[in-house]
Amino acid sequence: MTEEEKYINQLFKAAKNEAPKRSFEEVATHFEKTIVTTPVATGWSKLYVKYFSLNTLLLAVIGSLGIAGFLWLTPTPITQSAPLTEKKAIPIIDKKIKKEEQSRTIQLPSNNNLVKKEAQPKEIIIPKEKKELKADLTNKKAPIKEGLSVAPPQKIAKSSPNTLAKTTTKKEAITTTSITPNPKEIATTPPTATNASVAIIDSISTVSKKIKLPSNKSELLQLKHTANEKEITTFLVRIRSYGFSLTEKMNRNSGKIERINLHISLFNGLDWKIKLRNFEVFELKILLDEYKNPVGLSYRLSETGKFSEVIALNSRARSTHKFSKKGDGTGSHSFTKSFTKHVIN
Amino acid sequence: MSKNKQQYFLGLYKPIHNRFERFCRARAFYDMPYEDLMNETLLVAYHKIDQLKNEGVFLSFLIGISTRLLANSYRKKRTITVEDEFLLTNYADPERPIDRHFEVEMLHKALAQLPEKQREALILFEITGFSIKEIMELQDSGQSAVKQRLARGRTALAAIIKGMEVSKE
Repeated sequence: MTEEEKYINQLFKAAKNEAPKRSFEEVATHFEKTIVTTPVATGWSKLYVKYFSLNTLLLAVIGSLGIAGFLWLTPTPITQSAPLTEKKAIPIIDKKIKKEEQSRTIQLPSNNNLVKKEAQPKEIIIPKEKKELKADLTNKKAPIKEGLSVAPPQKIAKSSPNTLAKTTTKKEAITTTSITPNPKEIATTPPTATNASVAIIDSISTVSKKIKLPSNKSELLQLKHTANEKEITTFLVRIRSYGFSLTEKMNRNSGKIERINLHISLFNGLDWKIKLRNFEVFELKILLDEYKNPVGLSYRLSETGKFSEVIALNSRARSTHKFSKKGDGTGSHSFTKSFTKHVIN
Repeated sequence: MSKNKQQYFLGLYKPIHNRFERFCRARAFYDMPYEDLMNETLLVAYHKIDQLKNEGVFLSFLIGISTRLLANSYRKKRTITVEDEFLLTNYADPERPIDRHFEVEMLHKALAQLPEKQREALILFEITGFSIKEIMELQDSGQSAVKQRLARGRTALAAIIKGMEVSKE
């Protein structure tokens, strides 16, 4: 056994025999407090959180339909303004209108008369804008048909599509940029990801299982071999902001990246290792769906040639790509790739 | 009813607390605070206690949950250098002897630089005390794969600690 191995064994022994920093009592106390305060996530609540956007959309649709239906069924302004809103009151108004030959000025029966002739109503709907409705009638605006006036504009119904649109598109934070013909910029802006929520985590973890509608959206990330540490960090953070687990190993020499090994993975999904050598520009394209979730990856080296075959998020892939530069400034690519798609259980 | 279930759960947990705590400290190093990992794992395990097949494999049950939580975590990783003083101050335990503590911290930092599978295999085998067979079940891998990870991990670890660069798996 070499000295190094002995030293490693010594370190492991020290770690194994180290006393815990948190005592059992401390853990148990915290656990008991957390159990009391944490509500148990039932199957339905889990499903709701998992499909949060879809459920929100459905609730909004159902809610707007319900409101529209309620408004359609509620009494109209004239019947609201009349002291009696029972069905019996409407025929009385009809008769009067016919007698007056559809005159624009309409005199509603007085409260006293109606009270005498008809029984006391059991339900009286008091209009909110009683005064305004009366003014409308005297202004002779709309013809009255069957004792009903034109209902005031349904503000809620009109705005419901917009609110629906807003709720469907509102999704927490993964910003993307549309692809440009010759993107040159390195992703220097810091990620705008919001705090990771359970919904996002769940959605990302199951992104490989969902098949989204096709989309032309993608984000292109570039890494030049002359990139400094800050640019490299930004590049890596940007990839991670899509939920990928990423480990990297790179060798730099004289301020340039000579080689880089990337391992991009997703839990229960993608497992892609790529080794790159002697590149000038490495471009990684993250294909996105309508909801700005990643659906695949593709890459290109040194802006020559086409992008590689799209690697799906349920693939296990191994790629090596080397760009050899010739003396005359041209170069040649040599690469290998192997990937298999495995079924996710 | 819930109190009985809590007592039963804590009764299962008490004997394996030390090993689980060591595992979380080594495994979560720089990925997330190990206390958070422990707390979340226990919560999930408590709610899924019905899925536990055998009380004897409770530690494996907890470690499986921890591994999945870590894989799902939305944490930033970066390469760590041994000379990272920021981490030293954050994880310093004033009650421990400095030399021993520094060594263990250095080991954790070096482990964090290994590939996930190698790191996990080494922590399970060397620190938590699992057998190769148990690691095979946890990692869903064959015996030769686990042994290879352990061997390569130790080699890489030695190089990292010595400050050299070794090509990863």
